[in-house]
Amino acid sequence: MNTQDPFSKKKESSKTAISRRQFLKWTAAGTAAATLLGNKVVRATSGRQTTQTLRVVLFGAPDRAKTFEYLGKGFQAANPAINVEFLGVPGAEWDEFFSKVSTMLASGQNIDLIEVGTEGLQLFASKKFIQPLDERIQADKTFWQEYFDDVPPQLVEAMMYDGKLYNMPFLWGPAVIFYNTKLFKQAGVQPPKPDWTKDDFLAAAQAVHKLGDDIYGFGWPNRHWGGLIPWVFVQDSNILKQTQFEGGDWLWKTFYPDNKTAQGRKGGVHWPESMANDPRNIEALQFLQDLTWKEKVAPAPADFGQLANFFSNGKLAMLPAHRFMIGRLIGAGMTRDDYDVVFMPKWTTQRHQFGTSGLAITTNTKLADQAYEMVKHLTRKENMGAYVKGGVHTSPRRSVNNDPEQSKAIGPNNPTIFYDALDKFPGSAPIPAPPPNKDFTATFVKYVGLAMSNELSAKDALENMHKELSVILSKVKK
Amino acid sequence: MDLVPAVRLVRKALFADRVPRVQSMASMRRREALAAYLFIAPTFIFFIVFIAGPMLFSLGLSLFEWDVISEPVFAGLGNYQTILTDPRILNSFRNTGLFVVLVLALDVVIALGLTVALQQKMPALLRSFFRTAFFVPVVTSITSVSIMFSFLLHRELGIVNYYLGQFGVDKVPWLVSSSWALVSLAIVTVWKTFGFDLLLFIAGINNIPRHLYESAALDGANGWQKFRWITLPLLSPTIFFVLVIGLISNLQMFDQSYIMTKGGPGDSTKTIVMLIYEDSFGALRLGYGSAIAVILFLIIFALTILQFRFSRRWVHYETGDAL
Amino acid sequence: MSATIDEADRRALRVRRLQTIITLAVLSVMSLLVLLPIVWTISTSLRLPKDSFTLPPRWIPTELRAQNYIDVFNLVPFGQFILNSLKVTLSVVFGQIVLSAMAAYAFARLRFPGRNVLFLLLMSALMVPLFVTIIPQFVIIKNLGLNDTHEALILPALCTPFGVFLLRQFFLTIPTDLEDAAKIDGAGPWRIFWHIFVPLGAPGIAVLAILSFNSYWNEFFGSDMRLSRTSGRKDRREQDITN
Repeated sequence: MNTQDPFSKKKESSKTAISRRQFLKWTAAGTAAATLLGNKVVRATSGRQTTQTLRVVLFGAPDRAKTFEYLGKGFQAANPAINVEFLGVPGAEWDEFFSKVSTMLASGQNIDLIEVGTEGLQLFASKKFIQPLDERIQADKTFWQEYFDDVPPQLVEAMMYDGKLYNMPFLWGPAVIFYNTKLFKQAGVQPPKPDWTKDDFLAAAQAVHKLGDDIYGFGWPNRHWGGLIPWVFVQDSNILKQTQFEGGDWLWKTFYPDNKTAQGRKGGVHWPESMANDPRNIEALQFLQDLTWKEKVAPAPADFGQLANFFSNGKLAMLPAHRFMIGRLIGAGMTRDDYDVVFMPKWTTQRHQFGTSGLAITTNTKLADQAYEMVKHLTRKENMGAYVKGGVHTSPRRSVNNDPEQSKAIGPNNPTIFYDALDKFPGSAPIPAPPPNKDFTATFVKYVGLAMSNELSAKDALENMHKELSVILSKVKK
Repeated sequence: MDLVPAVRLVRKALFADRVPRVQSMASMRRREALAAYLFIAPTFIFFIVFIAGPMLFSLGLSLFEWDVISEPVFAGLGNYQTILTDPRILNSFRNTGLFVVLVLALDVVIALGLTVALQQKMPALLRSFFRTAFFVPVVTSITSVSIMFSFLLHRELGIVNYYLGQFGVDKVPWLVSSSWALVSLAIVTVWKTFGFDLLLFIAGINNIPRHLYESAALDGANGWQKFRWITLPLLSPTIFFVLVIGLISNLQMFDQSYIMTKGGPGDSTKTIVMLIYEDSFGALRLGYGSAIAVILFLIIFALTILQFRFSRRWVHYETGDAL
Repeated sequence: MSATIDEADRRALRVRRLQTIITLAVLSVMSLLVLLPIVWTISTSLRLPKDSFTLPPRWIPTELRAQNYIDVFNLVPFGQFILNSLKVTLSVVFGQIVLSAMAAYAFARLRFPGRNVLFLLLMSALMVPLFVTIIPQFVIIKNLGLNDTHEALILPALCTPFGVFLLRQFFLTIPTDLEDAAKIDGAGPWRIFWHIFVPLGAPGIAVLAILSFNSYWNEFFGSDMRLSRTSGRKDRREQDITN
């Protein structure tokens, strides 16, 4: 048989091929038609359209599904007329979360309640995407007193904008230092005392690095929260000048009348201009740059996933994080004795930076009252406790955070440390997050990155950052 | 002995009368055109509804300012004017262009080289193994690949630098240096995609009749000459496809940059699509982002047309011209 | 005389053998470079993270830990996801093949006014990033009343300019003798398409099927996995977008 002859051979094979193909085609078409019809029929008779759906969007990952179920059940039991839908939108960063949320909004999807972090609060509030809770809270004083007693004033202030309160803190986190106890022991480093200094920190990092070329003293992520900013804060400085909005006095008078830390607070934190090129900031960035390039005790900045892996592998002795890291370390195979937590080392001060998030009611929601009920439901002590169980996050409620049940299995040895970062250092403040947060973060991360790749000096990096940030902030109305 | 002409002759002889004469040329052409429209209709229906519509929407949106939350505000050509003075735009176009050139060059050279290498006599099982090995990266997800390489290419604790260190090479700042980051992304991209091009080239080479090589060998052609004068021209439609698709898709690179370097360090790996995404959804400037997307589209379109025009000079189709 | 011929032969044989060795060496090195990252990923997935990032890297895990995989299965209703993703992906792949093959044939072999323009128009769809069109697409789907259905995922994906282009190039390499002969027999375009191009284009169609399946499976399966929903509704389109 001449294989060059396409005619005879091909015709035969195509004959059988056709019948097979034809068969497949009709089966597939038939199945498709059945599915289409099937779907439509189910929809028409489900009757789901009669109940209202309250859609809650949370910054979450799939492993929160069970928690959401638990939370949803409790709410539905109390409010049977409403169908609750929790949507956990994942993202490595808050701005990824917000990007996805804005995609949802742009396609016309409805959101009633949304978790908003420091990184997005001013943006959403200034654009009137979320509504203030002032009136509702004022009308419900007895209920909320218990909550405010359990939550530090700095967190509440961070969720205020232009004199109004937009959400009740639900999660938060200060950047404190996690250290690998085994590596410290091996390197002969004493467990750090709470008031350890930046020099103690450097000495510890150097000692650990002596253990091996591929063992590093300190690793950190170049990002908005937990990157350069904790170091800028302990220099008693900031990237943006921090002032206050007027207003909000009713809140402090009603709920924090005797609280020293609450004194002097008003209507929210305001960041009107840049101070990025402050000499103290330059010193801080220089310190970090030297850790990598001079002292060689820190690797190139990596993301939290990588840092957690290196830390749990005994390649990294210290990293900045809050309680969410515990969940990751335990999941990576560490035990509660393998790590511990200590304050940021003291430089000029020891004030800490934090971020926080809470649930805000959207302006366009048609279920505002029900959304408010959900806020009350979710901020109950037991629900907030359930949400952070397993070291998933840090809770704004002191009682939850300091509850021994939360830290029994997983640590840390001093679970009150997250709280103490606020209680012991009243100067602790939220990370600067003005309304044009995305532009701020992009510029900030870009120049810190250039300094860390040694392509710009710390001074030049911050000077350029200052120039760009000034332009960005000048465009903000008000 | 070639049977086809013989068969053709016989059929012509038997069925020549069936074909009507001249006046039906036009109607034949009409029938052909009608058939053609029917063939492309399903695709175009979906195109109009799901693609053309949204594209026009984006075009329209580029004339507005929209922050997703409030109502869109008409801005005319304002967005385009801002683009002219936005330094980030030029930077991203430069990054993306460099990236595309690197990826296409490496991809085609490696895929072609390995295709020729696979023509070597070897047990069929071994050949299958190599082919499969090279194709495996193609079926991975770009997200997982990017995360994986972020670890492998870490300057201090990555495996690649570890092994390089064994050979006495200094730690390469793959992802943390402005000079290296883009190159690293290109290498990762090539790693993931060359297997597909390899597959196409192999299929193409298998279509080349053996007797051409045999007669060339008889005429005294060496390996390189056979490659240059037989393989390359007959493979040119496939190479053309690879270059066109490669240009279009790599100019829109996003995932690798977003996951591995986040556009850094210092914006050296910020691609155009990253800029569009961050401006549109991160900074809530959907109108501006759409305007950048329109510009990107026009550039890709122009480049593709240029490629098609230029292809007449070097792409050889069996049947003559195609476009 | 025969001695020099033997020598020449032997030299030629040596050269050819050297060529073979070099070629095989190059191929082996390349396939090693290509596979090593994947091997590392698989071996890491079978270990606890704390054992995974050692240097020198341990390629073969000392103790296998399939628990990681079991955890994933427990975390999300895997079975349901697989079935749904499979259904949607297969529908997309099948639809794409049918539509693209037909269009590709027309662009490759049929003459009609506006052929080039229409082809370029179709190609232009490739030149816009996905998320630029995804929002208006979503609005259109909502208006068509297809919200919350599998069709919302399947229908927009059916038009694939990439597939049309791929198959067109493939069809262009098929010799014209066959269809010339078929035309003489009086075969119309559909017959020629069905009996000649589809069978001969099978390799190209197979490639398209594999790539399509792969990319849509990654998209649908991955996006299902990464979102958690407690109301059990199949709000696929949103999951797609929020990814």
